[in-house]
Amino acid sequence: MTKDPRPSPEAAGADQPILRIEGVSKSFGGIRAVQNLNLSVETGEVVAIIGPNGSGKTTFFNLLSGLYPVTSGSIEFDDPPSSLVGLPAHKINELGIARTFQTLRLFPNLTVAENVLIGMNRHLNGGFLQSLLRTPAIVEDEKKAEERATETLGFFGPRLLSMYNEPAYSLSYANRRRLEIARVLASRPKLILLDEPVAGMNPTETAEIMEDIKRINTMGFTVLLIEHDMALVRGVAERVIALDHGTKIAEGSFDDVCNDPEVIEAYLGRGAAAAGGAAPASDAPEARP
Amino acid sequence: MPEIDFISSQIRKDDDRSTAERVRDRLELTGYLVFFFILFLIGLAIKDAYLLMGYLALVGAGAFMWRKLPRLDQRFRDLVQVHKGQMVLVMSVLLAVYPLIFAHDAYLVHLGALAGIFVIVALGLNITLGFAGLLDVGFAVYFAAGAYTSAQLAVIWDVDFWVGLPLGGLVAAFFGFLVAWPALRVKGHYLAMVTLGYGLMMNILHRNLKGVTNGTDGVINIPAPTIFGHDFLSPITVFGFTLPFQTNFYYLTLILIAITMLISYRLLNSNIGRRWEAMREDDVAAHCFGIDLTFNKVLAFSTGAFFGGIGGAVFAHMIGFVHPDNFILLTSITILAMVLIGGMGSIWGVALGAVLLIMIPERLRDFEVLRMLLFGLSMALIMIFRPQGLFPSQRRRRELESARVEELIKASGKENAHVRPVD
Ligand SMILES: Nc1ncnc2c1ncn2[C@@H]1O[C@H](COP(=O)(O)OP(=O)(O)OP(=O)(O)O)[C@@H](O)[C@H]1O
Ligand SMILES: [Mg+2]
Repeated sequence: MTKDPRPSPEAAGADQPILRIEGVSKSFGGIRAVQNLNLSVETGEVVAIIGPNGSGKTTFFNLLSGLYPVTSGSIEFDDPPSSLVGLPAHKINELGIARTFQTLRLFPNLTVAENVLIGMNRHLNGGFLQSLLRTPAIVEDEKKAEERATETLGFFGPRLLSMYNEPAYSLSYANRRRLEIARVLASRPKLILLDEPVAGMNPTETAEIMEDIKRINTMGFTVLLIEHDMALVRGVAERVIALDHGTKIAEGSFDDVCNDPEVIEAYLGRGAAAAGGAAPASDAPEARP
Repeated sequence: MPEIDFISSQIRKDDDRSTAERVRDRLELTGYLVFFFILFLIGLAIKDAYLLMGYLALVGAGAFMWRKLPRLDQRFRDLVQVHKGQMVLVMSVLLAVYPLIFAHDAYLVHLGALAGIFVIVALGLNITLGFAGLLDVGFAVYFAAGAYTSAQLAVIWDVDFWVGLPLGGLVAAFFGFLVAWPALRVKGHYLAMVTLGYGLMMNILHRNLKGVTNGTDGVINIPAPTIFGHDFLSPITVFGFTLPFQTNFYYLTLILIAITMLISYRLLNSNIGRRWEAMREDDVAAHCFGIDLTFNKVLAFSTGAFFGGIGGAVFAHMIGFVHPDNFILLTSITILAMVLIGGMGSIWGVALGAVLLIMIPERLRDFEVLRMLLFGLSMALIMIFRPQGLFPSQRRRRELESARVEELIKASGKENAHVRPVD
């Protein structure tokens, strides 16, 4: 945790953004997956990142969560600010960022309850010796943790609770996506990163997840979300950021971004933009299976 | 398979069941265990090698039939899981009387102690591989480290076995720590290659570092332990009944196994074990949920290696002689096979695997060359028909109060009081 010792110039203003990203770039050999990205997220916001396939959205999340090192740029999180650059993934989680994965990454042979307990990992202590001696404190902690795991699963009503003791691999596809979210909630992070939470879901399930994300936000969580489903983005996002070829091409309200000529061009090609073609909202790039 | 679910859920609701039913369950479990134990004793008692072969074939066929009865199999495993205490109690009694049954046959008691040593070692690998999913194909390194450490301490410096034993474990843990660093950079098959190379390399050192290991002369005349003035090389006499001196070692391994099992169980059912399992299942996700991969992998390697070293130390003092040939690649592979055949991650399963893999080849010695062939074949058959191992690990079940669940389901959709970002 490298903390900036200088008093932040905005410290007086209460609304210091929780996440401040300046000039972040990432290259894989010749591919520049993210280029000179600037962006900030305020506490309590829901911000959506859109962009065509391969535009660098997931790469950006991987940079934020510490899976890839940034090539250049600065990422500051929280107040007092901590630089996330160079921190390993587990340290970033400890600071209060938790994410879901576009390609599901549950712990398949662990039960639903255990998946959520791992989500809580950053709040659980209990060293080697205490675990061996099974001290009363540890037993008490574990009981409380299980109680909280149950409550977290209750967020999705009976869907996950009824599968409490079942292995994650036995869940339906939609429930696996829900469990990814539950695991993040269990971490009670200051910033939640959702990578295409409704990919592959049907319209009913999508509508349900939309309500869930709103509830998550009402509970006080800040959410940064990648999504191809424009109905969902319109429904939940207070602010939308469009990426193309790793660069931010537009930022603003959903309608502004969708009517931005560069965004239309990115999605539909130059001709469409010239013809004043449809925004991604209407014949949007649909969620891929 | 809904029927199976039905059976397990029946047992799961232990609280709702009457005392009579629970007693019946316990008796049933005891029945199974005694039956299996008797099968095992008969196998040991058959002296004629051809007769033994026939017997093993018969038991194998029986095991195959058992497999065809998934309900029975599941029932047995559920009983073991729900009545853990009963399992421990019955197994302790059965294993404790083993030397009494074979008091006239010192060789079988010796074999029991040897199997016991490898149970400890295999339980060590079970921590590294079964819990944390780190494939270590050089486990003989730790066995050797423990054996050489406590042997040389005793031979050169006259250090007592009871001091040498934990030191052997600690030195082995250090060797586990050493391999963890290069091993951290690789996964899966590549990790297997790194540990394989480590095992081969260390065995060359055993042969050539004459100043440390005496090279191919080995360490000889390793003294046997004594406890409260009782020498482990003198027979035990209880109620005028004399047990061969090997019984000393047998009970020593039994106690060490109990400790190893307890530690394994506690680690597995703690945050530590859960972190290991998460790493095994998906290390990227584990990393993103605050699990320090470096620390936890090093911890898993060292903890597993520690028990490898404990086994090695007992081995050195029981056999009285340590030679590099004890720590060749085949040793590592056999330890690995114990874990795979028993059932990765399953504490009882791995113990069973170790006992079978020590005792069966030993009892088939009359067949010479054919012995390893038959043995290899039976391992292949087990892996084909039961890839998860003889006694696979069971999912842990957590109790969930139904009233609480109702309440949570009703509350969902409204505000969720406790799930909030932390300040
Ligand atoms: N580990 C990597 N090594 C090399 N190239 C990579 C790596 N990860 C991503 N890329 C490249 O970076 C670019 C951006 O990929 P990214 O996965 O971030 O896109 P995305 O916006 O998430 O797309 P999608 O909507 O399909 O999920 C792609 O060209 C991809 O091939
Ligand atoms: Mg992506």
